[in-house]
Amino acid sequence: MTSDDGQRLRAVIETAVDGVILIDADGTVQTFNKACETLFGYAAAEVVGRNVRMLMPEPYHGQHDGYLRRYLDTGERRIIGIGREVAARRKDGSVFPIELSVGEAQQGDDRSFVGIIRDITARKQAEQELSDSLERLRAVIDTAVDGVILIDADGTVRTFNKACETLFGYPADEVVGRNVRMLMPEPYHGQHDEYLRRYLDTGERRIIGIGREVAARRKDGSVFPIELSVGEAQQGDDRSFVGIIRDITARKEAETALLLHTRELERLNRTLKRQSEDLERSNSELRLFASAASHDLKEPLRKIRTFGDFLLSEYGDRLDEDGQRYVEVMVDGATRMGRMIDGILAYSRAGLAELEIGEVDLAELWHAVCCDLDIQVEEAGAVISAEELPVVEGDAARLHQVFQNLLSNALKYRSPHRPLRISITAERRAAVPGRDECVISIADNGIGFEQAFAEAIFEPFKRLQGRKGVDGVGLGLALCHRIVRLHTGTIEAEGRPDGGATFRVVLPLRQEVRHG
Amino acid sequence: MARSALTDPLPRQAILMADDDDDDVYVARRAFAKAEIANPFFRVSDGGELLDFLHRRGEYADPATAPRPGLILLDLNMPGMDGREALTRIKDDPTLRRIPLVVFTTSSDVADVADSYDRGANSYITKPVGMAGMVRAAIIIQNYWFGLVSRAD
Repeated sequence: MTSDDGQRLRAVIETAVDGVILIDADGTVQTFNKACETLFGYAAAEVVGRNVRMLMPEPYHGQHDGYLRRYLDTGERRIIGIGREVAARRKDGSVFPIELSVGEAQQGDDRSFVGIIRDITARKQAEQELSDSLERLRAVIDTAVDGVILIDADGTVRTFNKACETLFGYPADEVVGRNVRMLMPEPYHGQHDEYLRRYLDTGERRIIGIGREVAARRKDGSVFPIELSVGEAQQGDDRSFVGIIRDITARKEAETALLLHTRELERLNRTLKRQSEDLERSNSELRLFASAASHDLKEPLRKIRTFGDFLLSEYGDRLDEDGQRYVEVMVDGATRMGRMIDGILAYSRAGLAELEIGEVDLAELWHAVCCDLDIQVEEAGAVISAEELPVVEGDAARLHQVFQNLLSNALKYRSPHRPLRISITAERRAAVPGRDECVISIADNGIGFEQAFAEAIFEPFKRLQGRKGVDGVGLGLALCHRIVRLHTGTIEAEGRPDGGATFRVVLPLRQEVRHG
Repeated sequence: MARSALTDPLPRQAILMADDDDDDVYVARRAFAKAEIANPFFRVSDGGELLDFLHRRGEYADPATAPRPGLILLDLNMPGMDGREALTRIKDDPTLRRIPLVVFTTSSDVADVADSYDRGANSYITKPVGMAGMVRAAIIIQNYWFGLVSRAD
């Protein structure tokens, strides 16, 4: 080697990117290049002439001398001519990974060794990060609630996570390495290979990147619905597919249940609608009947009364007393029947139409009722006293009917033995929280009734008295009962024979808005 | 030559009753007769006949047997065209609407009363029951419509 060659070699070593160390057979450092100074933090002067183990952490530090000796004695190589990853120590004591390749140089008996050192901290870190993230990914995949299956382009399963084991009943090792179609029932089972091939050939997608509901097969052969979304991963020419699987048995069952419920609801709705139509029809038939009754049924009665009246006024003088009485009885009967029809009509109409709810001042209403019946009040010589009465929500016309009937009753069933006194009083109470009501009591000192009949008197056509001396058709209280019930109120009666009667009407102060 | 009120009275305006019920018409005729009301009395049986009479169509073409009435008594419930429809048509017709029209029916339903006035009836009377009531009604109707009110014809 010329000195020029030596000069050139030294320049190469000094400018090399990798660290270059030359040691002799004792391990003493002969050369320590610039790159080494940067790598280890030592100046060359601090290292040259000293044992190279100063650059090694344990266990290399303690073993190096022995290793070197053994190699020189036996030729057993651990690193020389091979190169491996080892650890190195900087001047500050910190340790870092290096890739070390060692070559041997022999000049006569003089053996020396050249170490080429590359700092692989960054590579190691990258490797660590990769392995960390792979680990993390595996952990994520394994703890995922959804099943995750990775297959390659042939359909061979590469990954089968824990959730899949639970879903399919296979341990991973029974599936990995086998074709994924084992997890599919027909028709998917038979079509999958073909499908995969077609996709790889043509790019035609049926599921990849889309996701859909399909059927899956467990180890025990049972089939269950899954939602499958498939993604594609491509690394170079290597294509693989990731399937995310969610068992939707519960959702399907819920959907089915919902569907059944919906159908049931629809059926009930139809029934309800039909019934409501039936009701509407029967109501309108009833209205028609009421209208027919009001005109057609009353027509013949009117004839009897009119012509009976003619008979009496024009031919009365040709009839004897009996004959005149017969005609009077006929006319009287027809008159009563007409009133009865009116009563039935009023009773049935009361339940047919919607209430017309408004503010009703019961004091005004009572005054109006008294005015309507002033002739009868005068005739009966009744003394009427009224307390302060509340304002309620209700159907004014219908409530008028109620109180008119009650006053009319008190007037009719008066006692011949004492002057009639009628009083109306009101009291407020809250029967149920949120429902304020008033109790209107109409009390008289008339002939009263047996308490045993207190409920029966509200039945249609129920009369406790004979017709003698009292007109009416026995529908007044039934009508009252019906109207008060329509207002979600109650009506009750209390009486004693010859001891007067009290009617108590309980009405809520507010009517709930009802939608027709 | 001046006309004598006794020998040559003003021609009385006719009363036209539209009612399908022969008995009611009989009672009305009797009541008007008893009340000594001399207005000519005509009768039709349903809404269709009433309009034919007023428009002098068909069998009512002769003004002598179908004069323009001075008062219409109209029943509501009749077969064919009922009184409600006839009422609407008459009051919608500019040539007929000034003829006073009294609904004269058995119905006392407030809905019928309101509906009749809505359609333009001039009065609504529920037929009285009994001869005395009918005669009283006839007198009042005649006095009111032919004596008291100012008429547009």
